[in-house]
Amino acid sequence: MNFNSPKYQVYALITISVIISLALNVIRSNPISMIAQDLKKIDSIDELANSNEPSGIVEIDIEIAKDLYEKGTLFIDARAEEYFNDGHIPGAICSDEFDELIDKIYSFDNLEKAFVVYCSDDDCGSSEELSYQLYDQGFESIYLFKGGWKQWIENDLPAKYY
Amino acid sequence: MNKYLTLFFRIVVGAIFLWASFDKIIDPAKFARDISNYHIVPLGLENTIALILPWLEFFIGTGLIIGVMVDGSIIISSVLLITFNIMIAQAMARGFNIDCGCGLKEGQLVGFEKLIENFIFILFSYFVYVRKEKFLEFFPKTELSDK
Repeated sequence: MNFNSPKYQVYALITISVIISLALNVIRSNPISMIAQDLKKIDSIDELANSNEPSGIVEIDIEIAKDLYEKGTLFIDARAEEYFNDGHIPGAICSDEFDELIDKIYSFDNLEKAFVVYCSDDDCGSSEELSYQLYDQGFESIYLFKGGWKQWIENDLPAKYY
Repeated sequence: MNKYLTLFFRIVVGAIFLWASFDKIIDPAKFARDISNYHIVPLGLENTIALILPWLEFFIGTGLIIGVMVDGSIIISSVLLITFNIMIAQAMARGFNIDCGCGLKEGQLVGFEKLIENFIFILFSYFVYVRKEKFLEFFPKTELSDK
């Protein structure tokens, strides 16, 4: 192989990156799969009623989110406080500081129960990110409502505005 | 262009890629979610990208800083930076307000600031690629050929 050629340098760099990354993924304590898997999903209220607290992060739709809201489940708003203050699901908690958010969750009555995490809409990503952060903190039952605030108000559900 | 200026550009681009690789290497799962938020990668391949890309960034960053396979590294860095800008631009066009997943600043969102930042590094990469002489480059040792 002629390393004077930029083309072969590119091949060499890509090859060594592939080999090292895949080899280290095999031996690391928390490897990830090569192909991403979709989150578990609860599709109906019947399925929710028949299930215990979710194990891990479970995706839910607007109907399930509404049902959980009516049952008094804690909602966590993953958006910045600035957006939270413009309007949010009543009773939801929010904080720009992760440690402060953890304290707020711990101070909630139904600590041992699952909670719902949402952000602005299906494209925001911060609800999923926060769900994983909370899961890493030891919270093992998390409902992820991807439709978020946008879908909530589109369905004329209760909202609180400051 | 002055060889010292070219060296400066080379080291800046190298340092950016090296620095950006660390968090992604440590937590590929988070990086995979950042990629997923762009809603552009098909077939669940964000995990594969999240595993390989940080190491590619690590090796090209290291190569640029220590002067090893500079041509190959700068070609890859340019392609990556252009790709990043295309991904950021499409996310902005679709109204996504997401973490860019760049690995440089915690919570940096997609936006014009990031596009301009990447564009400056693309220019730096170009100046390194068209350099007229090798300076503090250790492998390969031969003179530059016409590009």
